[in-house]
Amino acid sequence: MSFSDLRFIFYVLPAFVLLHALVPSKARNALLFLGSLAVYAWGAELETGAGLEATGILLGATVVNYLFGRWMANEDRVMRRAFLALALFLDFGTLFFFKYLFALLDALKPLTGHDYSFLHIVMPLGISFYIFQMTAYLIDVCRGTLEPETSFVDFGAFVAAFPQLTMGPILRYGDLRAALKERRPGREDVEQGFQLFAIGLAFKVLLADQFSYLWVVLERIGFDYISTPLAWLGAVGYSLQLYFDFHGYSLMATGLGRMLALPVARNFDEPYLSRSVSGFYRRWHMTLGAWFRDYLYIPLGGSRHGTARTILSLAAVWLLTGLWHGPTLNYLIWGGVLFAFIALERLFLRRAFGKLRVLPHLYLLFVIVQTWVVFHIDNLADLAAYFRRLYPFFGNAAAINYGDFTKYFSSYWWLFAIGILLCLPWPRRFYERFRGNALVWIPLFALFWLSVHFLATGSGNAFLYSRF
Amino acid sequence: MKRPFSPLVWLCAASAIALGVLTVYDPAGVYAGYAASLEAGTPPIAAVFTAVQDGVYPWSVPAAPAETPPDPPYRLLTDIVTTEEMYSSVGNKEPFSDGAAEEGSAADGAAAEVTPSVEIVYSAPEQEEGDAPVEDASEGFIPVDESWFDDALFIGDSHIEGFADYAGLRNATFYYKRGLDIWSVMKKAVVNGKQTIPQALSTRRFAKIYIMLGINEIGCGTTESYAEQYASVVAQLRELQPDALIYIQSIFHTSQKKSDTTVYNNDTINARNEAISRIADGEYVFYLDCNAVFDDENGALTPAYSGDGVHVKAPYYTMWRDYLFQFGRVLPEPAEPPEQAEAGAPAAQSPAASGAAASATESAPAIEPVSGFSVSADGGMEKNGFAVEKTA
Repeated sequence: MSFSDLRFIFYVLPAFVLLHALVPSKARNALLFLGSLAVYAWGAELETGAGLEATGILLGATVVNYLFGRWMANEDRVMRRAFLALALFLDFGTLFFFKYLFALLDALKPLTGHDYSFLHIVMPLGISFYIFQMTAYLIDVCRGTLEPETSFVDFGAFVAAFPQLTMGPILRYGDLRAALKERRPGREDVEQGFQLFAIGLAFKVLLADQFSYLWVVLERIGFDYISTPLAWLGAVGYSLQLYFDFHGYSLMATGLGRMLALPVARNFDEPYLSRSVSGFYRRWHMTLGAWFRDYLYIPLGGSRHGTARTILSLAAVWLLTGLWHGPTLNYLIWGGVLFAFIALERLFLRRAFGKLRVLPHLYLLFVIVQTWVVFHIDNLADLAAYFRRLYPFFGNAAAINYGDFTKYFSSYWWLFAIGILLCLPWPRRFYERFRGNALVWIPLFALFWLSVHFLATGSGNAFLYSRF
Repeated sequence: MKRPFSPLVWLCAASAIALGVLTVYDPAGVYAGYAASLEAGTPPIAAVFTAVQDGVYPWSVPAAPAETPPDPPYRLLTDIVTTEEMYSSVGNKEPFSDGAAEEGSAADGAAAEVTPSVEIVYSAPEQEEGDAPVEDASEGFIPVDESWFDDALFIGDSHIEGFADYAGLRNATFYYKRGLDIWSVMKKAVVNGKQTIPQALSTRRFAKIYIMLGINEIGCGTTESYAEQYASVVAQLRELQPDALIYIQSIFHTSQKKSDTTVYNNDTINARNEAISRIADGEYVFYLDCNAVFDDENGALTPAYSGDGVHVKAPYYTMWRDYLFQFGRVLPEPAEPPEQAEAGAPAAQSPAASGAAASATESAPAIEPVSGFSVSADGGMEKNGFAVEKTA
């Protein structure tokens, strides 16, 4: 269930936090596991109409992965690897079946001539996230760096805990185990956790959702018919929208975790201040990047086996990262472009930039806002149209209203100003310094109710990452 | 080291409980109506905020109970609504009937608003003799060119915004707002963000007024309540600009996909278009079937014309403009100035006429039957027609 649903904010959140504080600590994981399943079923029912099915799949995957973890205990390395191979086959097979199979068959329709629309199944909410989380657990167990969990309830609580189930962050069992075994949420956890939740909610509702209307306008006008300045404004606007959407969600997840005394890992670290694409992706959706680093890039050899091997490993990581986001071609292109720039940085740009201070920032922003356009537009003809407007050197420019940039900039400039300001390091430093101070909680109190006002009166938008 | 106490969560919890209690117990009887028109399952606390949109604040409640009945909450065009939801709100039952919109308060409020002095009739389909006003009105049109629009005003929603930006009619005047609907058109400050339309039209004269409204509120009210409100808006415009020709432009169809999957359904649109076409009188008020411009062979918006299934893309607005070029008219002689617009005080009228006048200017679509127009339990029209009758 979306964290920005009023039912979540006013029913689920207070009920969960209260119950969690009141039940004996031995029962907390059972509450977390079962309660999260119920919230998941409700949310999936609301969003896709297939809540029970999705919950069944989640529960089945949890049981299977738990059992594989148990079976690996006390086995030798060879057997552990065999179990792991089988488990990964099942996990990724499930993911493939629900997320990619139909798209693949549909794309092959001209060749095969068969109609597979009966396979067009609703993808279970969050499957990309929880499958990755459980495979990380099994790989760690296989490597011997993690003891398999014996308690099914504790394992289930780790997988299903509602703060992170549908959109991450992708957690590691090793980071959570201590908190799962024993946690005592205190007053300060609840207070600080809720502050993070309120900030995340404001990011989502007051920034991301407001930016989204700009893109609605661009689609309405038609990508072929926007002026070049408006096309760039749209690209920057979407970059900010996506950041505040997913960063806002992640802050809410971290805050909710904190309220339950669960350490939910950080997902963002001021990414737009990076000076390279590779640096950007160490600071954007950090838990997904870390997954690919630890379980794909390093096993493939990482950077320790020469340049050619490194480049190949990077290619694998980025094509799969693209594919992880969805079965459409634009995600593959997106991953491919990121790979190209990261490879270029490694081979050449890093040395060329040397100790320059400003240019690398400009380079990063220039590249990244365009990659988000690729990320966003899944229809290739539309994508081409958008790039023709970003670079208006070819194609005809008919029906363009050259006043459009002024019109939309004059109504959105303040949103851009706030958004850009919040990408800089000072607001967070201010928050960390004054977080218990009235300078922080009075504005947050107002922002919380303003967010609720927007949610109650507008039409809420789904989180962008809930699609993955 | 102990961190300082942060009261945020406790303040939010306390205020949420207070507001929740306020909406549930509702001592002033204000929030019941707002709570009833929330989507099923929404926490009642949301009613506090939908009420704020009407200027009803928790602290102003005891002083001013139910001053303004709620506007129908319209759905933004980005919203995807399931078919079930659609029928729950578009169906025959009146979804927005609530305690706040009582007949008495609406009639009281009417006195303060513009009282139309022009006869505008929305008549029920059953009572027609088969010749739709559309066909009547199509006679007498003459082709015109751009200069026809020198003294033309366009009023509308995002369709008019696109038209203003891309139809290339620089000489016309446009009063528009994204998300505007027939219930809010005369109340929102759509003229440069400062004036309402009645305010602006009391100082500026136009010879032609083109209206395009109806897509945002498609999930609200019924065909009857929509047409009724439309007639009342037209009557107010006639009152404000007695010499102007008023063109009612049909609500544009949506793409087949949009129509099939969301509340923006073409059957609903067709029903409402049919209803508003009956407001035309063939003399000052005309109905234009603009769907002829953008429809495909199935009577839906041609997919290639649209990025979002609702609006046409930029280059197609000129087609709409060119279509309008066909519907000029020889302008009528200026009418006699209306004597005392305010003379339409209900006291001077028969009960039926004053009831109709009240309903013409009230803003909630869910008023219980007023004289001259009533809706039976199944939504069928019991009486013929809805008359905004006036004294002039």
